[in-house]
Amino acid sequence: MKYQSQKVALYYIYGALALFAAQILFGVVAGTVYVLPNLFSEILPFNVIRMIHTNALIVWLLMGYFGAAYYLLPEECETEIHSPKLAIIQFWLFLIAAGAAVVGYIFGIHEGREFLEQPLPIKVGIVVVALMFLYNTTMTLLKGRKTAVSNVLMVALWFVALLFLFAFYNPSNLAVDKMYWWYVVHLWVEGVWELIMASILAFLMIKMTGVDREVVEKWLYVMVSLTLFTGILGTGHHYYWIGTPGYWQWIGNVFSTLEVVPFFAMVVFCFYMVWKGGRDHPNKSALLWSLGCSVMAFFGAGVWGFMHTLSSINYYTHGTQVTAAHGHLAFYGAYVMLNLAIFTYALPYLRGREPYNQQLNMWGFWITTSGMAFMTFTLTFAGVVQTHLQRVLGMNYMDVQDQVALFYWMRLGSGIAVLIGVTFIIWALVVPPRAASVRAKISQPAE
Amino acid sequence: MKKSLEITDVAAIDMAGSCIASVRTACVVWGIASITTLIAVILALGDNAVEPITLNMFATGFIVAVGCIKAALILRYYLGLGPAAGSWRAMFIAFLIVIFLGVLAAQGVVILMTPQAAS
Amino acid sequence: MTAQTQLSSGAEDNDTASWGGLELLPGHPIMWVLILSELVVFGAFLLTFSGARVVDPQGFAQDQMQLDRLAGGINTLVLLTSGLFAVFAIQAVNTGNICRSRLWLVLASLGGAIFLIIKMIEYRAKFDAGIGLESSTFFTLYFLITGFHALHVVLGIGILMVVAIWPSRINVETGAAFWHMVDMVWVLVFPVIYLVR
Repeated sequence: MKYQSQKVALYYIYGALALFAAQILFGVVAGTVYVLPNLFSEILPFNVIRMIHTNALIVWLLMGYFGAAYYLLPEECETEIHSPKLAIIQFWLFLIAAGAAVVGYIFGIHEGREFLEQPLPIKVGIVVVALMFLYNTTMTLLKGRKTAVSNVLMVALWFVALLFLFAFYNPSNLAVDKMYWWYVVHLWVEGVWELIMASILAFLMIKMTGVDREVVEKWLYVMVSLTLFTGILGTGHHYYWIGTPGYWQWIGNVFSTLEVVPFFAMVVFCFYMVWKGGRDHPNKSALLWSLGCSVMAFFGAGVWGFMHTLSSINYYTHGTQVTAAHGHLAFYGAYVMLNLAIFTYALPYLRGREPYNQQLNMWGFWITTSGMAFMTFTLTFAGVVQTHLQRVLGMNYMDVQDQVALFYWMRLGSGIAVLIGVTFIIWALVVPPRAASVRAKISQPAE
Repeated sequence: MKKSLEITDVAAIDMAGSCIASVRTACVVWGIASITTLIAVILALGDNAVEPITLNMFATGFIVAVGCIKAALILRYYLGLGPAAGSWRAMFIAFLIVIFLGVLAAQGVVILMTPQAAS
Repeated sequence: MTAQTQLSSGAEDNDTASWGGLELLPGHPIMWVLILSELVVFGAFLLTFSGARVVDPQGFAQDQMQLDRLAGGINTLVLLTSGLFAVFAIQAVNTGNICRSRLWLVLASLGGAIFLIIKMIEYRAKFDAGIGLESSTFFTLYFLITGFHALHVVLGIGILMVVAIWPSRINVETGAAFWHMVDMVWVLVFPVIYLVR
């Protein structure tokens, strides 16, 4: 760690990990309710559990990006953060807003709009948090060195905030509502979040492989172009069967099929950089997370996304467990693993230690990733069976759910495996091993 | 970024002579492409069919091939996709071949599906 | 940075510190990334069009009768000529004649404007005949493909104008490359949508 103000990232990383734990716990509870439907039905209905599961995910990922930005910007810009104090206030405000939202959900206070359930005051709070963050980071960027990594990251984060403004517009017509809803949801995860992903991976590759910045930056530009080129009009794949005009089917089919390309480019990029760099970076687990991130994002977002992106297939699979399978692996592969990669990389520097608990961290990687992969398979099978029984044969929804119960049990099993893996990861990241604290030596980043 | 731009600039200067066609070559390319287009339009106008007809494979292949060759000429002489481009050139050519074969294959299926024989 | 890393990246500088060969082409390499992406998209659309035609050959044949082949042909000539002007613009900037380069760029974008006017007349005739984006699969794809292309012409005119203001060699080559891509796409769209039947 070269700059003192990078330390504020610690708040965000720990906050994110705490919410990560909550997200996984509520995920396991939701998985349990799937197989024991009356469990908690009086005290905590399923829709609230699911809301907390998804909202906690999004909030901790955003918190992770904030932390990543506070860690990476000083090194990229070669200057201290404009106001570390503001960053800390921003963190607490964000955490309080998230906590208040969860408490509200438990008492049934929410707007009922999937993923954007936050009541209006919370949404306003999120905007204030975003403004504080953007002010702080943009001022940092403006006074320091401007690199491709920091520029792309900042442009992406600005658009994360700007696109969130569509969350305030909630027309009463459900079809119109959904149209704008996707402006937030799709253009985040298949647009600007991908830019964040590309820039953070680029940062990690520069630091860990020792490949020249010029080379990495060119790859970054190509990945950014491909992402925007395919992702923006790829929004069309959400407009198939929701009341939007028919031409969206053609646009969605063509562009969203190509959305696989930027994810593939990221796989090639990461492996090529590591192969070319050939540098023996001590933080093996961070490297594992980075490579794993690109691969699982390609499968989760790319392959599993493509599986149901064509309108004629989506006609049958829309909103079945196939979607759930894709959603789980895509979020895990692309954004959870990305955050864990930068956390794993940054924490040893932030805490002034050698990379510690690598073995445990890597065990966590393999257990969690296997758990998620198995969960994706079970949900995919459940989805295929569900599609056939419900959409082709026309069976009733609940009868079909009975038929796929076995898959839900297996999903619960894989969820518990994920919980164990995540415990390993968080333990490895947060708790220092006794031996390591003795030889507290700072290993310098590459470059 | 600045640095890389300069590198590119140098490369472009080195390659400029051989990549982008001279004025004369460009005019010849323009002439060939324009004449084929004119012929296509005249042929199309001369056809007074009121009922839709299905072209045979040869005519279809000819029409699409002319389009692809025009595209290839633009690629080579206007865009300057010369031999220096290496495997990228192969990629662009492959793209044209895929279009050509794809359209032709579709026409083949249409002919097989149409009851009345293709004219 | 270790000596080994320096060596390895130094040795491969010619190869990978570059753009993998794209830097050998005229214009900025990222424009070639865009050109390739555009070709893939338009190619996918043309193949989709051919595929959709297989599903409904009669419907496509009936609808295609209403297309204006003459307008399509004239537009091909217009774009080819405009592309030639863009080549002239590069030649002019190569010989250091900035003024002449600007003139050719303006003439090239004028060609684009004529293309757009003819396109508008074509669309107008369709709308007057009660044909719209949702009339049939054929017309949905016709409007989408030619409409996307027309949007690229608009964008291309903008790029040529910007390049005409700052006509450095790299800028002119980059702008012209985009313009030729637009030209080339039309050369493929015209036979596939208007002529093959």
